[in-house]
Amino acid sequence: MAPPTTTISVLSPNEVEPKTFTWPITMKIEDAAKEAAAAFGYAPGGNPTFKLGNEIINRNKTLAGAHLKDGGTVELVDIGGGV
Amino acid sequence: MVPANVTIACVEAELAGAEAWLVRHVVSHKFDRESLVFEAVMTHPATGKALRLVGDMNGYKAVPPAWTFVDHDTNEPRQSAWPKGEPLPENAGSSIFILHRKQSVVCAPFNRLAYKDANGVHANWGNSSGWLQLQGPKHVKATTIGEMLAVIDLHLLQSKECMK
Repeated sequence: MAPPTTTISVLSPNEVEPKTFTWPITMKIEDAAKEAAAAFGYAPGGNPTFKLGNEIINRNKTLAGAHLKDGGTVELVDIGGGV
Repeated sequence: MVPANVTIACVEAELAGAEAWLVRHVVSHKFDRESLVFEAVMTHPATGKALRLVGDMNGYKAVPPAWTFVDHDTNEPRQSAWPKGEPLPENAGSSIFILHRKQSVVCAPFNRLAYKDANGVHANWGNSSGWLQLQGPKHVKATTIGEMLAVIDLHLLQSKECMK
């Protein structure tokens, strides 16, 4: 049986309008953010994640583990440093 | 050398998305088409101090912008105009706000001033013309103005104080 899904709106600083995605709640944040980044035309090779309010969401969590609400909105942002 | 009209076209192609982000985050901004300078006034999250972020877009996007913070009132370079860097939580990355030769710098692949050709901190990155190819699991990547602003804002959110 397929896991339940959740629908999330994602905002990108590259576009005015959000995009809406429906993902299994077991999906990792890292994978969902990469899918969203690709949809927004981000250059490959980054380390995208989501930001909810002012909080960075750990990329290793699942959508359920990050307690993202069905119908909620997150922002796409790349993490990492200059190193 | 990138002609000014090409740089302006590159910037303007990205402005709509960036401006939507700026409006959502209540950040005032302007892009001067004569000097090719982009400015955004951000707010330090802990102190409430207004921070003026300046991006010199000359050469964009054959090379990345030259990002720096300047004094909000005088537009002069000043250490106290900079946020003090703190790492991202949960080992998500080191701060992009660092000191290099006693000067603050945005240490990120999207800042021209971090590269060898600007006598920057990262001789190992090569020249700034290679910025779009630079990537790695620990490198932040931002290739549009909006993406850069979002990353700078993310790191600013971690800062607890401004530089002295």
